[in-house]
Amino acid sequence: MATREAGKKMIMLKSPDGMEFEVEEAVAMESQTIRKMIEDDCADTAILIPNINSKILSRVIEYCNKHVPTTGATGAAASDTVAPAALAEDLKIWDAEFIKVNRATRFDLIQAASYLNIKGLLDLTSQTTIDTISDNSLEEIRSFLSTKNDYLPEEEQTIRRENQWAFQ
Amino acid sequence: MIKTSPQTSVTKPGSDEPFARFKRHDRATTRKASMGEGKRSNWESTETTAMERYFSTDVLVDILQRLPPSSRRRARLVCQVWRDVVDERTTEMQSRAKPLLWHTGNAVAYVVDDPSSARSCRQLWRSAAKGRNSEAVQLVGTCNGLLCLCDDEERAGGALTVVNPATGAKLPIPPLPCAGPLVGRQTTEKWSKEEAWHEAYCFAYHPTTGKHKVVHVPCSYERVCEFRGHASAQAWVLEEEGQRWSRRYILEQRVPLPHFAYAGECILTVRNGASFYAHRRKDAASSGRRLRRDEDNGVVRVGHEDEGRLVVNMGGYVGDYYRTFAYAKTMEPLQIG
Repeated sequence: MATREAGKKMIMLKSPDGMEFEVEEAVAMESQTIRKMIEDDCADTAILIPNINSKILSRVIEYCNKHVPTTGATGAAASDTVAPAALAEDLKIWDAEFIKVNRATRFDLIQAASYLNIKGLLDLTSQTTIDTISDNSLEEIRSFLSTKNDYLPEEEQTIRRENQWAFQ
Repeated sequence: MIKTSPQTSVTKPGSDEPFARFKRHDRATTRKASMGEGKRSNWESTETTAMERYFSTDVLVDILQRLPPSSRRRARLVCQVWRDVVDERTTEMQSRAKPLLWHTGNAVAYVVDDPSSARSCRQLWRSAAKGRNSEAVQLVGTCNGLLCLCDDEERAGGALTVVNPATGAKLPIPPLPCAGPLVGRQTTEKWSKEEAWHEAYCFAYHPTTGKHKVVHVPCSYERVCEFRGHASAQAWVLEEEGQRWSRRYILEQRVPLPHFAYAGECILTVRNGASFYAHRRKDAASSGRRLRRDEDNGVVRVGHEDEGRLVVNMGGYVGDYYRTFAYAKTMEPLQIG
């Protein structure tokens, strides 16, 4: 990246499987967790991101690169010439493409977004789960999560009754 | 700088750890809640589901908090972990329904925020229809903080709207296609303010699908049950444990309908059509002199008009203008689906 200014501070992110990612500080600071580390001065050379593998971490960095304010992925200040509405629309289309991943990857991204505290990415990744819970039957929700109904029949009755009281 | 220890860098222990911690905690609370009834085999199972692998408790809390309240409540039925997260990490189960008073003549809804205080009644919603007969707008029912209203004059069968007073959202319900020939009082020449289309509707919530339903029951229309309470009436509540019915209240006076506004713990009675008195099951200690209790099973007997605690006096008594409903604030968006 020849256009990168010399003054831009770079941060090294390391995944637990040994990969290293060099990113601009501003991009890394899209994560509130990393921002806090940088502000507290515990990030002078490299930051290990535990429990996020390199595949997921690279997707997260891709997201942050796209969403970092005023600076596009190439480092050029592209947004100055583009209307904010058009930029938001462009981001929306980009997000829709970005989230076209399988369920396991999406769950991994939710986990990563939560740990790294990246609100936009968490909103984006958890929306499918929220829609599934809102719109589907209990059995469909359980099958989406590959979980089982672990209630005894009488316990389930009790919960239905508790819910119903509130629904009156 | 973060220390890189080899143990943490190989696997993903961090993703399982908070969950495991929660599960241990959960097991304790579950046992307490179910009082040891039944054997629980699933906790001993070692297989992990996709949910356990990917959703730490914090992630789960975050997702559940983004759900609309009715879905969040329904999510308690998914599995025990979810129930405990909803109960312990969100405020969902602490929100209680409040008594809602509906003025049938003016189309105004009031809510009583605290039935133990005499000054907590406030206007919640009022019909925006101006210059019209305000008696035309009637409240069909309330559910999860939503009000289902019926304009008896606008068209045959009544024009239904669901409103959320907390957000101001309004959702018109499509008209009943067969309204004209099926319902309506045969003796009346045309639909007028004497018509009561709203009495044929019911507004309900379906807990399994999480959808609200408006049900129209035309056959019940001339035969609406009228409970006037001049004679003695009793209120029975099905207890949550034990599967038995227990008598909670004996009412010997007029009670506005529907008279249960508080999950069986509080009922409202009305005097002179405008003064509302709350009778609370748990308030026996503070107002013991006034509530005579049934010797054996703690029944609250409401025998005299001035028993109970005055909650609100709406003023301007002319007749039986008020009906009571339940109201719980919600920010849930409205949509037909």
